[in-house]
Amino acid sequence: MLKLSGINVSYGSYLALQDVNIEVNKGEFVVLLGANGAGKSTLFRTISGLLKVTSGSVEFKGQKTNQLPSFKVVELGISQCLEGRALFSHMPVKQNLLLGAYVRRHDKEGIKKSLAMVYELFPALKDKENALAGSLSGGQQQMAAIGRALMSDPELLLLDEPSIGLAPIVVQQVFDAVKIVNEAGKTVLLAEQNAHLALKVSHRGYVLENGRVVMEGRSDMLAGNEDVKKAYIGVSD
Amino acid sequence: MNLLIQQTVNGLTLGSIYCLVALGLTLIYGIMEVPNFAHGHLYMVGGYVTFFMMTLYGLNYWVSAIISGIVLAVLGILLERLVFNPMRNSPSSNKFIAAVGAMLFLEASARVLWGSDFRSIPAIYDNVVVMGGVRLTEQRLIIIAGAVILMVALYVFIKHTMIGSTIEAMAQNRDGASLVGIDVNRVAMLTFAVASILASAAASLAGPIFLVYPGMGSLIIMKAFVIIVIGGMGSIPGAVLGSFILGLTESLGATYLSSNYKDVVAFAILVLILSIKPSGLFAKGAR
Repeated sequence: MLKLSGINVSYGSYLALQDVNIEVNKGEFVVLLGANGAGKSTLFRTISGLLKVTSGSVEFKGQKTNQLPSFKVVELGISQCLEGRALFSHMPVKQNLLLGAYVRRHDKEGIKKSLAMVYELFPALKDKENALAGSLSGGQQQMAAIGRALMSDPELLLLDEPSIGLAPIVVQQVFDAVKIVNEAGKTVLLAEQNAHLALKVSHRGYVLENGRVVMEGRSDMLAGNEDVKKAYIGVSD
Repeated sequence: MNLLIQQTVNGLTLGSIYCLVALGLTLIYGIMEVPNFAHGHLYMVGGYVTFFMMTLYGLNYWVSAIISGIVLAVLGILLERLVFNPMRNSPSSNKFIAAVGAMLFLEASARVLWGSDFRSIPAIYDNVVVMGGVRLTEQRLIIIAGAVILMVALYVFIKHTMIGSTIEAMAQNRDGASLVGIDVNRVAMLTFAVASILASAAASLAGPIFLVYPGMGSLIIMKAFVIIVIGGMGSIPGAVLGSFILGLTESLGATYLSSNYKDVVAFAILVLILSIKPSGLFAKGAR
């Protein structure tokens, strides 16, 4: 469904991604592991069209997307939840969610259904629908950001470090919700540093280091790998 | 007492005009993060278009004002496309210079095309109404009513329509707006169009009382800047409140102190408010 071939992305003379090849199939839950600065966010911004590749190509459902502006990418069915959430913090939660459905703004029925689905997934958002997004707790903001990304009814959901800065119990809730979304048929690509949980819920994974893919494989295999354990789980036996 | 009421109404008239200009300036600042120095000059061109529609083509005042709004919307979009959009990824000093350039260009063009004479939009509502012992021309009431109607319309557009809320969304989080599928270029053009329409409406409303001349933009842009700094850069309620604070203090200051100090009062208010709330009354806040 999503295919990145030989991607290079640079900021000036600094090469942030080098010859990255990643493939995500329909219905999969794929995790992208990497430390700070490994290039996860750069990769996601590239898929969404916020950054342009210097060489290589991004294909979604057989169509090249690396020349498209981000709003076109969203229209094609890729929705991203940025690290740092990028909410409209001075707007009510409900307004944030409705803007998430901007690309299908004429589909009133569909929007209603998606809104009900998001509220079912994250009941806390229903209670806070009239509160300003900026006033929510970190966990609720993350839920709002994921909810907003789901409102466009995307085929592929990109989640950039949803666990960052959250209490472990909230991380668990968020991951459970993402798993439900994946099981309901949405393809998910998740960037994480929290490998322990991410590898539990995902099917496959890639490990990104200094802008290169250094390892890939099934999640259970990666979870058993000594290097991965040392670098991303923090326990080694 | 009558003098106080009279001057309060004059202050509200002035505040209404300021408000329409400052709202556009703050909207553009909100999404571009750059002050549009040429905004006062859009107001000036709006005044001229209305003036010529009435005097050259003999059109009705309201029809002229609407045509002026349309012309200015196009001019605003052109300004965004030709000046601000190419500068989007440049350092802010470049954008500043580009905006100042656009301002000088518009003023010089007006002098070449229309001369430096002072003109006045023909007053058709100059009957005097007496209300509670206060004498007002109808035009002043029209200015206040017109500004209030446009403010309410802007509020409804931004808060209650999907298209309007994209302006607010982009001002609050540009990346977030891109990622929900909002075309940021379209929002930028829309914002310039809306802001320019407001500026032209201000000029059409003010034209019969104040004068139309090439330098009128420089004067009002100074005031509009003071207003959005007082109100908090990028804040809509701040721009409304700031406008009326400035309009009223100018008008009352001119009466009770001296009209020579009218502009001094405005800047004294600026210094006072900023020393208490350095980021303005309604700061846009942290992101």
